[in-house]
Amino acid sequence: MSDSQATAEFARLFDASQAQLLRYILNLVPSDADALDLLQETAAALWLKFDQYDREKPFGPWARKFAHYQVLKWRLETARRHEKVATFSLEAIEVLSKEFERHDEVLQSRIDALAGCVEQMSTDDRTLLEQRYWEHVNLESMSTHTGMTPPQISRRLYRIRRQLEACIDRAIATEGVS
Amino acid sequence: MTHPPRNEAELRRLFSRVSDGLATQSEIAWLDLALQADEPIRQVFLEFKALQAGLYEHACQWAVEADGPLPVAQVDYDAVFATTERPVVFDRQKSDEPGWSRQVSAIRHAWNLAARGIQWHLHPVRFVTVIAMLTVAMWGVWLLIIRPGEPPVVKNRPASSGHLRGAHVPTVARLVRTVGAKWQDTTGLFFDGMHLARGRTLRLQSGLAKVAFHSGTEIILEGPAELQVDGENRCVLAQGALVAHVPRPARGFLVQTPTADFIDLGTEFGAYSDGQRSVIKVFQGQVAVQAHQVEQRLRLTAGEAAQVVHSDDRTPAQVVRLRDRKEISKRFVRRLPAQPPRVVAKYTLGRPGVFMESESWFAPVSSTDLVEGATHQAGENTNGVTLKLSQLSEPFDHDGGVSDGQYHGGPKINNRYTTRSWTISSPGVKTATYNFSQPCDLRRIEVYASHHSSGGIMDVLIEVDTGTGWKTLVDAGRGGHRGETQLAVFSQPAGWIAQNVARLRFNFDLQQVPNHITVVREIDVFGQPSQPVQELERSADQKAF
Repeated sequence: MSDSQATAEFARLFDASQAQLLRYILNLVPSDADALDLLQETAAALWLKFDQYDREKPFGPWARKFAHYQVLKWRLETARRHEKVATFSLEAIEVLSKEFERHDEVLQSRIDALAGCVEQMSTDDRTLLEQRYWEHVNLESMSTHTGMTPPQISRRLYRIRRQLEACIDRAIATEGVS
Repeated sequence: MTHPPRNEAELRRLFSRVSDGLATQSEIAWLDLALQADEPIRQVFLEFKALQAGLYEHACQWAVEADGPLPVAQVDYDAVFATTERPVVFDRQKSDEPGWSRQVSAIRHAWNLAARGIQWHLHPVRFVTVIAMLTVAMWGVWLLIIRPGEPPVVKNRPASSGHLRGAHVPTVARLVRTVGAKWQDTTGLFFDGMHLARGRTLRLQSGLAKVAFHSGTEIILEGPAELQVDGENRCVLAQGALVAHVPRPARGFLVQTPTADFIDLGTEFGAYSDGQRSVIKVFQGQVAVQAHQVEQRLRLTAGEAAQVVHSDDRTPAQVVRLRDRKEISKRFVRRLPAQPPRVVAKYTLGRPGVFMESESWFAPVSSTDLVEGATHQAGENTNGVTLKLSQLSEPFDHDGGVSDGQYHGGPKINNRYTTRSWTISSPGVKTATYNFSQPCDLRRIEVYASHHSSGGIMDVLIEVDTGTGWKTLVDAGRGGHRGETQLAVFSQPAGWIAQNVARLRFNFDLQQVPNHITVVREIDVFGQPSQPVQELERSADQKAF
């Protein structure tokens, strides 16, 4: 396989699995912002080791091993640097990692239901979601835009998330019936 | 939090704070133990984090243009539509379409790829084009990547970006906006907002063009450049410079140049190629570099740059890291200069305050006004559709507004005043929302309002919704002083002021002045549907099969 082919192959495989990968990492790390950074680290690690990937095996689990390792490495590094970064314990990470493998399919169906729910949100709420999840604006910057303090924004996001969760529950219940 | 969560609501509130990075160390410590020990808490946590992941994943669909929603064309409108190959089917799904939520399960399996998929299937015709192009440019190596035998990836990308399908070649990107763009005439005509089919090549002689891939990746192409969009998240840069902004869900964006491939691993980078040499500069995040002629892979992080050179008679192929110099950064255009529509000809006529408020005096309400009747701007709306004010929703919910009566000495328009809900008394705000029956491209908006009593001022804000929520089109600021405000919004040079507009909203604000009455007499909107009606019908037929 030529290099160019390998590059394209990697792009395709990573592309197809990165949503699941992000889901996985989000579970193992308290703050979303850290999870997003770790996804990036994982992508880089995967790419550098891509020639070791066994194409007979599925890409997702292989990639998750890297993600898992990146999380542990990050945990260690932040501790070594005495950074005040919120991390979970090794024990919690193990439990959550196992739990993810067990439940991911169910969780995927919830995400699928989400699209219709976001559509129903008000413009203001969607604008807030847009800033938080698309532009990755941190809460401090968002507070200058919106005039709300970070905790206020977080509370507002909490309410939006509750609405979305309720909507997802309804959608899944309806799907189950039909 | 001074105590552990006492119920599920408090637990979820804690999750929110944790995700947003606001939780305290002691809260995290509590959560850590709870997650290990308590199965139900773990369940709720996993569901919550799945929601976060889903929001990141979906966010690409709400994406709006970073530097304003207002594409402004350089292209002569009539010339474009006389000759351009406009995409055939407009597959836009409006957010309020009831069918959409039912389609959720259908998109389920397509989701990951649909979010920003790389497509491997190539239509035979396009395939030939690609071969021809590759042969001409002698980039045979890429031929190996394209495997027409593979089945097509199912696509069902929802909502906001609008999704067009030409005959059998899906569109993969949209030309958002250009600034000073000159196209090589061999490539056909381009206009802002047009959708680009897979395989389409853009040959930009000079100027800047912003292209948004359906994946969410946006690039700014700087002429002279030649770029082929060959997937929802990939392109071939034969020559020229581009800066790519890759949002998280579109990560994996691939730029192929004659000497190297660049895969984005996050956020923003610039790429340049002159055929023999490629330069990559990472502004944010990371980019993977794969040289073609030499076995070398490189991972560049923010601030780093590299150059990949093809071998020729004198020099061997090589990959070189470049020192991070400012000149490299400066070489790239990272933001498209804003070119918003201008408010022109806003003026107030100091007419004597002859103002009648008796209902009986006013002309009967009709819908004969607006575009069709805008004789004072004859010629402006020859390409336009009739946009009746009667379609304005609450509070302007009656039929029409201005009619053809006698206007007291009005300099331009031969109209009478009208009243009822058109009247805005201060302090107050009135909003008129116009819901288009189908997405429209707009090139001019005019507002005429009369002000009663002296010292009257009115703020006019016009907003558009192109499927991603309300965005300010123009904030016209203050107008009106004992007389009439005439407001025209158009771009200079002439072009679209907004495209694919689903809704248009006017806010008339009289908060600032006491005892003031304004009568909005007329709103003229010039434009046309975003695609011909018969093509919509055809698409409906196709769906039936």
